[in-house]
Amino acid sequence: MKALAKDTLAQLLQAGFDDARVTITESDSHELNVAHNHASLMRSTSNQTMALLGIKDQRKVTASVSNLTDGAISDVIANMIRDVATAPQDEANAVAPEQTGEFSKGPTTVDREAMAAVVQNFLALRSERYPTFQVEEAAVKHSLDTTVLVTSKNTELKSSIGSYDVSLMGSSKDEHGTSSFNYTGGSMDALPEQLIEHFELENLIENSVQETQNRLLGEKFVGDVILTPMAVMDLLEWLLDQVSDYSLISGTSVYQNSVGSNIASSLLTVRQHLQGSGVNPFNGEGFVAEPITLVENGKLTSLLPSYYGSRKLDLPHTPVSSAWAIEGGDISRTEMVAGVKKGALVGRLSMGSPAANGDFSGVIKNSFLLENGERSTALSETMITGNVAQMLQDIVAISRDVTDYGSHQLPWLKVQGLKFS
Amino acid sequence: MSFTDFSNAGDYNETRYHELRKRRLVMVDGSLVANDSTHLVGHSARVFQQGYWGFASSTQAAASNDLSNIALANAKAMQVFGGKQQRLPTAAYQGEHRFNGQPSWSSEQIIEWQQAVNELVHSRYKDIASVTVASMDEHHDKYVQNSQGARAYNEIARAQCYISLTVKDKDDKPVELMEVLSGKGSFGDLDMSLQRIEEQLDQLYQHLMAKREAVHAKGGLQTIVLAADLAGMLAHEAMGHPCEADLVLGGAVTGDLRGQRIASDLVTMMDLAHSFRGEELLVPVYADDEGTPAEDVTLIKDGILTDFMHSRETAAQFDNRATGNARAYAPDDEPLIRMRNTAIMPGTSKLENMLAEVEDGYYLLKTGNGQADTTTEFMFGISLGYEIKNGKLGRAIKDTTLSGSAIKMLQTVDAVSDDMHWECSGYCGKKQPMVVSMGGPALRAKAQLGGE
Repeated sequence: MKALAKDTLAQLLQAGFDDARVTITESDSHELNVAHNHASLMRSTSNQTMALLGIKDQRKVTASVSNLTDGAISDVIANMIRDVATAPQDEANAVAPEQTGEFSKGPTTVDREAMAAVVQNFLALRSERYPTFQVEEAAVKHSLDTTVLVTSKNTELKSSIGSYDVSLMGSSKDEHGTSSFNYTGGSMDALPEQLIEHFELENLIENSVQETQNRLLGEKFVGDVILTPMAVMDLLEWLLDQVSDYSLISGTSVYQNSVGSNIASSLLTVRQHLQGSGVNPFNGEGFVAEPITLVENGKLTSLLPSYYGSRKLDLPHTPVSSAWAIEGGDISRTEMVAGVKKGALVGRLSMGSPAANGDFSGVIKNSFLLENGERSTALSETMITGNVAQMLQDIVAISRDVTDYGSHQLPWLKVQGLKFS
Repeated sequence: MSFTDFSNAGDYNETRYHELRKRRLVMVDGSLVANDSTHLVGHSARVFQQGYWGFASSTQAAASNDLSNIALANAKAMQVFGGKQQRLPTAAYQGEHRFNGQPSWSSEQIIEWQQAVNELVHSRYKDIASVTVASMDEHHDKYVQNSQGARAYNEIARAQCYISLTVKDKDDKPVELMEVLSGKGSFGDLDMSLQRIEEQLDQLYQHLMAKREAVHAKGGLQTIVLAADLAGMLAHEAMGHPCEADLVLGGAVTGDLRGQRIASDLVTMMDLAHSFRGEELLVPVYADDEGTPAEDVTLIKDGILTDFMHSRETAAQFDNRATGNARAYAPDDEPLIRMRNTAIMPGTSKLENMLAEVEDGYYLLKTGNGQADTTTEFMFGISLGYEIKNGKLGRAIKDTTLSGSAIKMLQTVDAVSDDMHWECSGYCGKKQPMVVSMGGPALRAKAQLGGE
């Protein structure tokens, strides 16, 4: 792989590019699928792709191909030379310099018998303990991704990342009705005996079974929400969007000039989570990620432009991966619920992308009414309205327990002052 | 490439050769932040053996001969879960369908067009904080054959452009609106003339100026008029997904409602295979990726829930006909039940009358995304809407969310316009992405709106 990558890099430079990057990825996966409570499909895939980037006269073009024969690679380079000619000049275009390393983690071979056993155990448990919960689709997958990335600025990186990935989506149906669907999933280095003990699966199923009996709230009030991890993910993704290229380059980020400022409650600390299962230590641009703390006790420590974005905006470049952890707090989940006078325990937010300024309104799904410190009935057709930036400021508690999803570690967050309708 | 050598393995098997070409060019305020092309080629085989599926795919042509054997081995390995006899429907399509559109634009032409749009926006409109122009196209060639005699070639080609304008409000907070152009074929098949773009952007800018002064909508149950392109989203998200037979098997509430009234008798909704009123639709599917002849499915007829969309497997489980809805997105994807061209059928009302008859409500024009549920509770984000007061449009409203039980909402529909709007932008998401089209007339109904 490395020889082919270097040879292709040489071809790009020989064709006239001033700088270039070549990434070759070989992915082999085996995926056992469940549909409607039954094992249904075993899927094996073997993919090779080559992604190329070329810069000529400060103009940039990228392409990717799955056919790695000499002729196909020559054709794609010729097309890149044609297409780069009219790209606008931009002195921010550049490739990663001087990054080196070889990384290997996770299981490199698949254990198909273990995959079958873990699925059998899970389906038997569902049938015995939660017969009204319907697995609409689920999958246990082993993948091994081997990546080589080289640039014309002396970057040579290689990784071999194996992991088991689990996903599940389902809902419950009984004599009372049907619950909203819910989903979870994540990555792990080894398959456990009982899948249900991971990724909040058992909580999800237990809640789902109760959600067939729900009620419309039908009243407007201002209250607290406790966001469980899959809803916390929505907040985190919005924050990351705000400090990344598109929002920064278009000038629409609400945090454009906020480094060093308190953008969140002092309870919130967000760190890179490079040790997570399935996480590649280097990113697609060809930089080894740094183990940074993005938000420390509420204070934004840096923006996260890409290398291009940092050169475009003359901002510091902090290379990161897509894996993040929110630090746990000092309170139990039970205590968090006990402290809510009126509000909701939110399993999932169903909403459009928040407005550029953070305003949003969303339907709270898989959620329960909280009243006087106790969890009450499941809710249907209930909406909350607020502003995501304000929600980060209004975090008043973070759970001690943190759920490990592989690439992410997420606690429960309690946020005050949301409008219910 | 065309059809490959074929081997029979298992109770049923199919092979697919799938070539996918995509381009994505994104310009933000004159900076080309993405200038990318992708060309994926893959072979796949899928085998059904004693009730279980095995699938194998590879991007390497040399591996294609082994794929049927690997797929068969995978299906056999699944017998550890038991075994069952199940006969799949036997309908098999033979035919080839190509779209004879205009030649596509080169990347050079697209960049020049993006630069022209960028300059037009910055020179024509005041106070623009940012403009993003994104142009994406994709082209799928699929050769499918199976052990029941199907030999089908289908081509799916779609081009789309997003133009997003941002201004700052009085508090210096960004306010955005987006215009979308999409259609079958390539950029050469879209009307991207600067004259047309100018007309569309003039309207978009007017809306953006109104949105800069927008007020919060009133939260709760409201009378709403959905513009035609939102009704297509409603059709897809709210009732389309719950009528996919795999979701029905997964517990969707629709499973118990076939033959029952679930909507006003003004509502008829279909998932159309390839044509409507004699014209080929935006996502024409003549045979699906199981080689099944694709046919129209009437999901709701005059308010009564009628049929579901099927793959071969769910058709066998429901003892129905396979409808040609099994589609795979990428070369290494297995076919899943997916919509094709889903629409609410036009009615007889005029949009202007539908608005004039509303004393207090909202006219909703643009949406960002949407989500369905097994309960038929739906949501979609509203990025542009106006108050309706005494039959006249009032102030713009801030971004909000429309939601509710689709069944409850569709039962309140009291007017359906006589026009029809089709669009095929974005992707439907369900394990895999998918290119689909949505269509609809304007609807008037009651639904939950997020707000103060």
